[in-house]
Amino acid sequence: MSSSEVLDIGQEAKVTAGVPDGEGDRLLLARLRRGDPEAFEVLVREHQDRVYDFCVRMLGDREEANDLVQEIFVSVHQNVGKFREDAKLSTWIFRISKNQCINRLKYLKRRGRGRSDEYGEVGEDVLMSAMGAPQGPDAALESARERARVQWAISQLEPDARMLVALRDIEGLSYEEIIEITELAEGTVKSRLHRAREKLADLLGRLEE
Amino acid sequence: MSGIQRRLMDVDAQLNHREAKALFFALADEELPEPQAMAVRSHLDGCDECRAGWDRYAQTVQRVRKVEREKAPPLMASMVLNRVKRERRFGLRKLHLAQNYHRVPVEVLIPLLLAAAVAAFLVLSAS
Repeated sequence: MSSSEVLDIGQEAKVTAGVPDGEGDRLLLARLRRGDPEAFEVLVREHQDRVYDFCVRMLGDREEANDLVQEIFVSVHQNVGKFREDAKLSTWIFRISKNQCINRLKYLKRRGRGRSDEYGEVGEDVLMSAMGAPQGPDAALESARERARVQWAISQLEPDARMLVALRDIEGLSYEEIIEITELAEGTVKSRLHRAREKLADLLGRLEE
Repeated sequence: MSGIQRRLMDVDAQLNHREAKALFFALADEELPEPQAMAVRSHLDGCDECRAGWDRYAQTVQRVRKVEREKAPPLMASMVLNRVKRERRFGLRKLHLAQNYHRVPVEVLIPLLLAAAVAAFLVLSAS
C-alpha cells in the first residue's frame, strides 16, 4: 500500500444518510414533544440501525443489543422533553446509548456474563457461529468471516476504547460529536483511539498468523 | 517547489521513527497539514520498519471502517413501540427503572413489593 493510497482511508461522514439534521430534527422534535406516536416511530426507524450496530460493537452480543436498543428508545421517549437541543438529536441518542451500554456491561460483568470472556481465546469457527455467519462456500462467507474477525478484535478492547472505535471508525462521527457524546477532552479521545487502533492492528495481525 | 516548501521538507525529512509513528493517527484521519504529511511519507519511503507499521495501521483502520454494519431486526420498531405502550399502561416508571437495573420483571417485582408491604404492616401491628 502506498502512502498516497492510504490517504483515502480517512474520509468521514459516511453514515449520515437518512438521519435528519437541523430543520428536520427540529420538526421531528416538535412532533415528539406533542406526543405524536408516528413521530416516535419515524425516529426509531431512522436511528435503529446505527444504535443497534453501536450496541453490538459495545456488547459483542446481538441478543443483549436487541434488548438494550429497546431500552434506549424507551429512555429517549421518556426524556425527549428534557432534550435541550444543545446538540444534534443523533448525538443525544448516542449519548444515551453510550451510558446504557456502559451500565449494561457493568451489569453483565457483575453477573459474570461479560462478552469479552466469551470472545477470549477462540477459534474462527466459534467466532463465525457466534456472529451468525452462514456456513457454505459463497461470497457472503468471506464478508461474514471478516465481520467476525473485526468484531472479535473490537471485543478484546477495553469498553472506552471499543466505544471510540465504534463511534469514529464504524459510525463515522466527527471528533466534535464524539467529544459531546463521551464528554472526554479532544486529546484524550485521540490518544485513546490511536492506542485502540494499534491494539486492533496487533490483534488482527496475530489472528491471521 | 518554493524555497519555503523546500525548507519545510528539509526540516521534516529529519523525522525520527517515534515522531513518524506518532503522526500515523492524524495521517489516517487526513488531519495532517500537507508539509507534515509529506514529511511522514518521505520518512516512510526510506524506512522499511515504519512503512510496515504504517501499512498495518492503515489497513486496520480501513478494515474497521469497511466492515459490514449490523442491521436492527426487522421488528425492532414494533418491539420498541410495544414496550413504550406497556410502560405507559403500567405507569410505573420508577419500578421499571428498578427492573432495568436489577433485571427483575415487573410481574415479579410488584408481588414482591406487595408482600413486603403486608409483612411490614403485620410486623408493625404486632409490636
